[in-house]
Amino acid sequence: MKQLLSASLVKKSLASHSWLGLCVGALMYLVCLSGTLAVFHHEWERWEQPNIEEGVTLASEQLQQAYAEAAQRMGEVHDIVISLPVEDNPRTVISADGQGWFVNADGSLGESINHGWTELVADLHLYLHLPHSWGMIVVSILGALLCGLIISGVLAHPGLFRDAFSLRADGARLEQVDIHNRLSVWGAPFHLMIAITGAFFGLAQFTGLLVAMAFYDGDSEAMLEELYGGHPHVEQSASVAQVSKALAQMPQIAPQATPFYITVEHPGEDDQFMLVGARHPERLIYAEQYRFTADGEYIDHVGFSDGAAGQQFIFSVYRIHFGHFGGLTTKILFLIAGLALTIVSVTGINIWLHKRKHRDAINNLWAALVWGAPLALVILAIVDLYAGVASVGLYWVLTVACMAAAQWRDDEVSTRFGLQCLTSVALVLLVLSHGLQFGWLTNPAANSINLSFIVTALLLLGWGRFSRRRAQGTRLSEETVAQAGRA
Amino acid sequence: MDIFSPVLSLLLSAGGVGCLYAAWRQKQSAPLLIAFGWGGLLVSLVTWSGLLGVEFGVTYALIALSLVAWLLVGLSAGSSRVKLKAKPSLPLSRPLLRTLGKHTGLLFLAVVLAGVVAAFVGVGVLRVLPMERANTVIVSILLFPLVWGGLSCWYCAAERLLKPVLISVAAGALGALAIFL
Repeated sequence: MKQLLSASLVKKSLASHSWLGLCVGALMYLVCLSGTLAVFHHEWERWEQPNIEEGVTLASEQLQQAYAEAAQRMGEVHDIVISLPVEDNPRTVISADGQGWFVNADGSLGESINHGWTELVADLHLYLHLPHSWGMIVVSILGALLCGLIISGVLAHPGLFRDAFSLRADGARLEQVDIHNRLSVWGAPFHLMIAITGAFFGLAQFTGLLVAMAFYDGDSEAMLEELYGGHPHVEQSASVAQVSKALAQMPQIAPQATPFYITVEHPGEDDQFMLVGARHPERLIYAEQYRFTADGEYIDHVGFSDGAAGQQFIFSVYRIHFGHFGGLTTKILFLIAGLALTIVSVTGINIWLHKRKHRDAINNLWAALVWGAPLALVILAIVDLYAGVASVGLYWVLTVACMAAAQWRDDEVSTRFGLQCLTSVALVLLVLSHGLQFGWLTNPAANSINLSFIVTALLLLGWGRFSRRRAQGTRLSEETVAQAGRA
Repeated sequence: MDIFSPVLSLLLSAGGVGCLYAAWRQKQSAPLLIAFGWGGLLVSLVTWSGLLGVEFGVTYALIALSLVAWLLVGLSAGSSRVKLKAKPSLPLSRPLLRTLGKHTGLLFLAVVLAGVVAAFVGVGVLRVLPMERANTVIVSILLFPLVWGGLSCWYCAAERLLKPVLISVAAGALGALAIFL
């Protein structure tokens, strides 16, 4: 590698990497942190409402009854989605336009959906809490710039193989450099995949316009029809879609597939039709969609499982990005890999801070952002448990308050330790609050999350004490050096 | 043992990275270990794919590679303590207007111009390649962030911006011609 890249190219690439990293480091950190949490969004939802009946498979009549009642309650909506029980979310939910209900075992509509905190985390990841249209674009641009950071990072690293496994734990700059480089080099395939699929969500609409001009004579509708399947031509009279009839035919139509949602498009209108989404074994596609008339007559399938490679890929992006395949094992692997990318974002800025010859407000604000963000999320979860409100405004007030406190204290080591301790305490309080409100043993997902909160609190406290002691050791060295200098 | 068993796949991934690690620890060059390392990782791609299908298999093989490597990095961590000079605390300095302007300009180029050029180049290049239409759409959408990121790097690395800007704008214009003509 050293022979391949000139010293000048390495130097320029490093400058480019630093500049891009500093531009996007803080936003990248928030997106990576929230994205790592969002891998478990089904489990968070089950934790937020742990007393919902789980694992109930509804009989056909009960599902039909539930749909009819929900459609009547919802009134005029664009589409209604029925989520069927699956392994990581074993609940039946009917939802549309931000409202929805769980379905009880007898087919009646139960508790309303209330996933305020999970949505707050998802909104931070998808939109950075900006207005959705803008936020999605900003986050997707971060995906493109992450590609740039990966390219410049590789070019800036001539000792890629020489340093492949080295980690100099000196508690200072070299440690940050090594953690940054080792996590990013060995995680590069995963990070690149996350960057490209992440950019896809918001930027596809823009390239889509150009693609439509180049390949579809400017007809975006034609392009979308070819990729996603258009609206089928239907002639029917049914006013309430026969969802159960459609679902009952799936074992004959696709015996290998597992249906997990039904979407009724334009419910109650003349052109309404149904899409039954079904998962195929050993495939990354989110679902193959089987189309039915409102009367429950099978029309066709869209072709995500056997169409052009491009069409198959477009419906795989979601599962690849969020690790929603292969069950809990994959989610844990994505959690680890996502945390690695989060740490890469933080250590990148830390390296820059270490390089500077002075310290200023940026040192304080950065420590407060990094350790204040998890604290704010935990406090929001507690507030949501008691008040039923997960306010974006409150999240940012808490983050800014952490920054103000850090600047007032003017010592990033004690700021970091203080926020780590507060987060540990808040995590324990959160588990206690959850237990008091819903009971100590609820569903397996909620129990595991509560247990992981306690473990995280202990690890955080242990890590906080260790890193503070180490930093104090360095400070003693600083004093020694200063005394030696004076002598 | 079944050739496509999870244990064998995991062993191949771990063994592959392990060989690379062993080669790295040796003071002399160890081409055989390196060859075994990369070979093992390539075979692990095949066994993971045989076990879980190509799509899941490749994903698992790559993630297994990362995790095993990180584990070995953690195990090989060397501890040392450095003595640092205390850094003076300074008030936050206000950037010069000229510096601010320079960075804003660079941000505009790295984000806006690079994005526009990447879109035109990505779609324009595929216009002249013989591919199925649905695949072309996806390839262009996937290429887009890579080209964008690459251009951003180029702009940020350049000492003089004129050359990369002119070349990329020209490439973007060619892409636009391919799209609209």
